[in-house]
Amino acid sequence: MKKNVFKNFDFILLGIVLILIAFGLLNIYSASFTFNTPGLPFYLKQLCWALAGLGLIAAIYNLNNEIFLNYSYYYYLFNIILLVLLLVLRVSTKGSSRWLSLGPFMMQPSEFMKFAVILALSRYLMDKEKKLKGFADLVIPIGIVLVPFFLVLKQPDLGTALAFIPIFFISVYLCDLPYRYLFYLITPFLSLLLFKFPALWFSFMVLLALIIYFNKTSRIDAWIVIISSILSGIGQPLLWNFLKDYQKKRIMIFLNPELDPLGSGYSVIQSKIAVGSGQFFGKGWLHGSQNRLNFIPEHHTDFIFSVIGEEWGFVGGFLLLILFFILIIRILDIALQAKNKFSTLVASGISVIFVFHIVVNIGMSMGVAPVVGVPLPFLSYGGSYLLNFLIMIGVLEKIKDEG
Amino acid sequence: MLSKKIKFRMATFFCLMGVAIFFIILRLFQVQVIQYSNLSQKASRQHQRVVNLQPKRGAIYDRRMRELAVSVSMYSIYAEPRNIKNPMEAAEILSEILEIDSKKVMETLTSDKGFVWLARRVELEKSKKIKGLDIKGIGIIEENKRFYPKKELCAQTIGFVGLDSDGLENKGLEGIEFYYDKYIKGNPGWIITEKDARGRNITGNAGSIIPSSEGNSIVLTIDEVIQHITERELEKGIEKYNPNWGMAIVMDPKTFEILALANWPSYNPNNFSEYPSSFRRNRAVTDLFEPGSTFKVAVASGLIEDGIVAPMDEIDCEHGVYFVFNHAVHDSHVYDTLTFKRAIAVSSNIAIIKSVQNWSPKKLYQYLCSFGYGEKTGIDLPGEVPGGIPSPDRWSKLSVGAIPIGQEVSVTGLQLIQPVATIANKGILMKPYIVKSIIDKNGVVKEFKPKPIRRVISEETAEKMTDILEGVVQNGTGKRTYMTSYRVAGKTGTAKKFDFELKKYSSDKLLISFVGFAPVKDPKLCVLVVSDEPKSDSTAIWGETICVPIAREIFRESLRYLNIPQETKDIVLKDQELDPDFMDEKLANVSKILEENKEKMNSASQDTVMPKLLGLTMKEAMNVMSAYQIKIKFQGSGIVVKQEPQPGSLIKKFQEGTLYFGDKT
Repeated sequence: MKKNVFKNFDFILLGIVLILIAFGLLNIYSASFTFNTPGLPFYLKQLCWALAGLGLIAAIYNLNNEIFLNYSYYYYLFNIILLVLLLVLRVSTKGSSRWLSLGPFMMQPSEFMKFAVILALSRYLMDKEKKLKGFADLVIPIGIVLVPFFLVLKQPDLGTALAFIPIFFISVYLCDLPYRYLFYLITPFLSLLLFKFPALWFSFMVLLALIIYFNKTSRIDAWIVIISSILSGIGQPLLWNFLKDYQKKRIMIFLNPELDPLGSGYSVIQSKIAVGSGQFFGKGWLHGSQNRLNFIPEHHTDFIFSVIGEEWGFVGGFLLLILFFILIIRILDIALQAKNKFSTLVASGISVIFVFHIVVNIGMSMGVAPVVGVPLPFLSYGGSYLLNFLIMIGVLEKIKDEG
Repeated sequence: MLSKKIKFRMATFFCLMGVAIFFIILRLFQVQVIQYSNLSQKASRQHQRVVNLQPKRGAIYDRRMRELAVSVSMYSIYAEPRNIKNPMEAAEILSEILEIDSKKVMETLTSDKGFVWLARRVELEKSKKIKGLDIKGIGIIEENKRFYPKKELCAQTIGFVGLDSDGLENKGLEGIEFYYDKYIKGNPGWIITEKDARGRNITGNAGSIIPSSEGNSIVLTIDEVIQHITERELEKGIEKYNPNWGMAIVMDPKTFEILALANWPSYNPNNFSEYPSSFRRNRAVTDLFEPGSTFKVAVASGLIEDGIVAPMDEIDCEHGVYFVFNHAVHDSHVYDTLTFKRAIAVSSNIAIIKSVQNWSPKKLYQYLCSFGYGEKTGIDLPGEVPGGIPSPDRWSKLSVGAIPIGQEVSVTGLQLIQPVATIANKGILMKPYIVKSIIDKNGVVKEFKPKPIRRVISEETAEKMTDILEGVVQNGTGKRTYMTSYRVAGKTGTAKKFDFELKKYSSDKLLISFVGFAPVKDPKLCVLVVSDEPKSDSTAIWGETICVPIAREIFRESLRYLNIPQETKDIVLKDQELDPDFMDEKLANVSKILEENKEKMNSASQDTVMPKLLGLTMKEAMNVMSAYQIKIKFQGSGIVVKQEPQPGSLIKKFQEGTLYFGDKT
């Protein structure tokens, strides 16, 4: 029996995860050993969460094969309810909006929502016998993504909210949505961005019209695309004027953090300095001056890469990214070997979540991605996200086992 | 299973993610490998506050380890305010000892900095008291201050120090202090305090004080005593003529070690800023001039070495006027025929020009270069200039009448002493140097050895030249170096300076020089004395009247100091006979006086009246007495305090007299 159990187990996948967690513990220790926090130090807390997560992986591995397929919507709904509950509670208590207090633990439902969205989307798209042909077929998938998107955005947690978007795009892409529709989906945003440059915007609209004309597009869909694009374009300046000054400023800073070096731009600039000062070989574990002197807020959570970059240098960062890259190859391999479409979509969605977190988090630490709070998988400190990611690893192992 | 279409989409999707990761790696490379220095700098600027600690600068010694420049320990008191338990109490005690207002001390002790200076460079007594108190958070650091105990002595060579980029007084600005700065300066120490993101100072880990390390010391080839003699004699000899500047070099001809290097006027490096910068020039290497007749030494050596002329060859001196391309060259005195040796002794321009005309410009140029003219000697002093000898293709038609007698060339004092030192060294030129060794606590770090460059002339030629140059001293323009105690060889020079305003050689602006060596048999010292534009209202001034006596005294005193055996008892000072025959024919003004007095004497038949000489200097008295046909003896030094015969008394021709010199009082 036992032999059988681990026959298909992906030890490389789990091995990489364990290495990453161990490396994470080292860096969390380095990032927080100067802190004066009551109770368990961060790295020990993280160790507890990691052990709990590994337990979950074992549990998931022993579950019934069909359980995720069958319970996808329930898991999704359960998480939606938690998010709504969170908003309601916030309104009543005016307290923290991201966290749900569960006795001694603080839970962050939005983290679990990421996987719930993958499950629900995959479940819906797998059910669909017909292929995705037009906007009509996309209404429910869009709905599945937008409901949690707005719920999380309202917290407000832009980073987590944004994580749902690539899941949606990759899922529909892998379900053979025509390329032009992928384009139509982003035209309103392109129109919004280009409206400031009239000549560009005009040629863009002409191009859009030509694409619609020469491709088979139902009349309704064509009108939807054209009207939404024009509206978002024209609406852009109106929307901009409608915004209050501080809101405008916030957007400007979001796009260019250096405008506000002491405010939100501060972390990015400091993080970039820390990473850059690590140079090729790094300053050595526990020897990062920027880290030790707490120049970067949240450097044990979202900005953990500033510690890694400073103390382990380019060599450390490069090896870390290579490790992540191997991890993603493993996940995609699992996606390709999966026994059904649901599993393929789930595995693919998980890989997108990984890449999104890695690129946005590290990019943010080096000033190429906007500062949105997303953790670096297995390396940042945090219980909920770590559990969620370990659950996803458990599911991947399960999919592998089935295939 | 997946359809082909989906597989293709999976592949593109995978590529997209690969590209995203690749992009992040690129960015990582850019930030950490390409832009790192900028970002690292930002980082350290942000988090470090460095307090510099001055290292102990190495000392400078003379060749016998006598201190010329030293670093004196001073004590500075600092505080680490966050480690002080009772600032009130501490402030009161400290303010009393340091004599600072207690409120100020209190302010410093309660500041939120990690490190503050309480008092810099306090006396040992105070620092001992504070050390005795043993207050936690109060510390003492030894700092150093540069001190030149010998003040003006050798000032231009030693140089001085100023503030470096860290604000420490540890940067050599001139002389040896500058040239060997990297050896002497040592490594600075630091107290590093770190700031955190909120700007609070953090004392950091233990050992945040990195002590400074002491610099190496320099041992010069300079001998303090000879340096002192040289400076004293130079000042004594030229001060009264108020020249623009004066310079003297003493060199060991066997090694080319510089034993003394004197510049007048001098300055005190302990407060160098109070002096004009011209006082700090080390003119022996930084200043160029046209040397005049002292340049003939190299020319004559070449002529003899190449067999163009022998010392005893007779040369027609053309009765004092000789034309080089329609340009008249004069001798200061009219000669018919002179031997070459005698021609050098009386410094005949015509004889040497005619000899060079039998030679070739190219050969002359080769010899001059071979003697080291026209290029830096490579001495370890800052600011050396190469000077210049025109190469034959740049000669004008008049050059042959100018270069051999030391015009149209520019040389440094150090270059001018080299040919003479080469002759004294039996024909071998060496590299002059001024640092003997670099040492640290454990011994010698680096030693400098004499370095022969090339043989310029044969030993035989060197001997002949020695004989010629001794002739200059015994019976020529350099006779005032004549001593009974040591045999001296040398050459004088009187160069008319080129007046750039008038565009011609000036008749009253002169640069006078003497270069020679002694003792002749086994040369120990080579001396150069140069004086630029000495001024005198009474009589003409020539090399032999100013520079020659200075050189003589330097030789005498230094050789005696070096315990070099004397040839005969030294009686020169007490009884120097001045034979009228020896009187310098070149003293134009004196000749004029002579003429006038001859007339006077003729009119006054055989007898004349003794002039009043009291209060005159030796030179002035000599000039006056040269007009009288009276044999006179000089005794002592200073000014005339007593004279025989008495002023106003009748003197007869060839009567003997004595002038007694003494101090002004």
